Amino acid sequence: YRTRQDEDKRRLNCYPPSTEANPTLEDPTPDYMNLLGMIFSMCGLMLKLKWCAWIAVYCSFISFANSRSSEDTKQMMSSFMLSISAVVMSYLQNPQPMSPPW
Amino acid sequence: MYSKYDPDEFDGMEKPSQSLKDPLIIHTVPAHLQNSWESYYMEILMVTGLLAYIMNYIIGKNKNSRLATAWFNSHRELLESNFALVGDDGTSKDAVSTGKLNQENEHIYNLWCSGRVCCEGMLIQLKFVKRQDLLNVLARMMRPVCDQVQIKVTLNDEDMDTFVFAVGTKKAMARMQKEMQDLSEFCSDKPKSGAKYGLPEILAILTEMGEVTDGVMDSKMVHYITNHADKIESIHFSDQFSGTKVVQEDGQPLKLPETKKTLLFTFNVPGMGNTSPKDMDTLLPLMNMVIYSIDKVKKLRLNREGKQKADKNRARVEENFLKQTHNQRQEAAQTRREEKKRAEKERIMSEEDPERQRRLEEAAQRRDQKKIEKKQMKMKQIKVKAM
Repeated sequence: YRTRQDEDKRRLNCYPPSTEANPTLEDPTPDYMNLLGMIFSMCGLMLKLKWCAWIAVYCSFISFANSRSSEDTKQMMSSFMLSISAVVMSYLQNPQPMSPPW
Repeated sequence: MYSKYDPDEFDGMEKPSQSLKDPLIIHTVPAHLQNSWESYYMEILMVTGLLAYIMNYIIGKNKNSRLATAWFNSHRELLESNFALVGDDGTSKDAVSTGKLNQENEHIYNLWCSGRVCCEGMLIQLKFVKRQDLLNVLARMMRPVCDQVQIKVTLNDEDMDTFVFAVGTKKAMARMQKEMQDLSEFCSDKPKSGAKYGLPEILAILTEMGEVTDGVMDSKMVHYITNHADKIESIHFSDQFSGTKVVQEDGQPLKLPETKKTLLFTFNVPGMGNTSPKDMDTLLPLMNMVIYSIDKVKKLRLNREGKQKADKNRARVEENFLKQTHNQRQEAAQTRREEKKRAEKERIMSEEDPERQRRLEEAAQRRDQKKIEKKQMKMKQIKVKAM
């Protein structure tokens, strides 16, 4: 079903850019996780709660795993760094181990 | 026991016997000062969890990548023989074939094919499950999900007659009838069972009119669909495709959504999440069906009756839409007129010269009078015509 070469060339259409409008709507997971991660990091840092800081680390990992390749790596890295600094700061201020909730 | 001591030495001191009865409190050494890692078991658990997550990420990512490559390798020949351009990531201005998949995500791969008669282009999306996210893996243990292959073929205006048709699993049809703009407007009847056309019971059909179903469901299509019914989620042919229903925002007069002649196919990869690269070969006949459908739709033309019906349907939908937005548009026009009047009044008020003010006011009054007269003339004409 290949037509003549010049007909092919006339009918060649480039990758439509409009398809990229929807990804943000279809899967909001990385954005939510990013936001959650930042919130938990701030709670962990300010309220000195170790478990908040650990959850923040998990959130930023989950956000990274679900992220789109078009997303900014700087955003991911800053979220990582913030959560890791929350963990480190909590332990420096209070080196005691976490106590389980039970 | 105090016999060896001189009792005089202890003059003025209280008897120490009371303190012997108080319990001795031995404080525990704070955990971080103990030289043992055992007390940090929660932290060790956390780190182990993170390591497990990272391991799963790497394994999942690789599996998805292998599945995508397997799919592409089995389909490459068919696509390259049918399309001049296979693979374009949109970065270069010229349409040059990249010959490989475009990775959007760790679980979504795109492929754009173009350069064929009868169609503008075909976008294939391999939507795998999120094997790279441990949370998703755990969620899938409770509720299994399939990998999916979505194919969207956009057609030129002359390549397709005016009809809307869909076939797929009963669940998918019910969902699409509610969600899709064109299916809800043009296929208002409940999904019919596919058994009437020789399809398996699990499939249902949504159609604009019976003639369309008869035209699309020829023996070859029925053969394709029956043999691969377990892999078909939905097949949707439409000349009025505009995606899912858009939620209306208040205060914004809507324009009729832009439509495009489209063929949409959604296939389920067998294995229900536990797919192996070999399973990708089983999708090849479905791609043959897609190519066959493109050619079929080009040749399918409604007869005179069908065309009239289709045109009537489209006119009806447009009219309904205009009616619905009529109020909104009227309100918008009214607000615009009021704003204009207000702006003019302000201009007149701000004029410092009273003479000019008077003249502008008179001009505005004359204009309003003319408008009223025009309207009256129109009403008279309508009355005369009605008579």
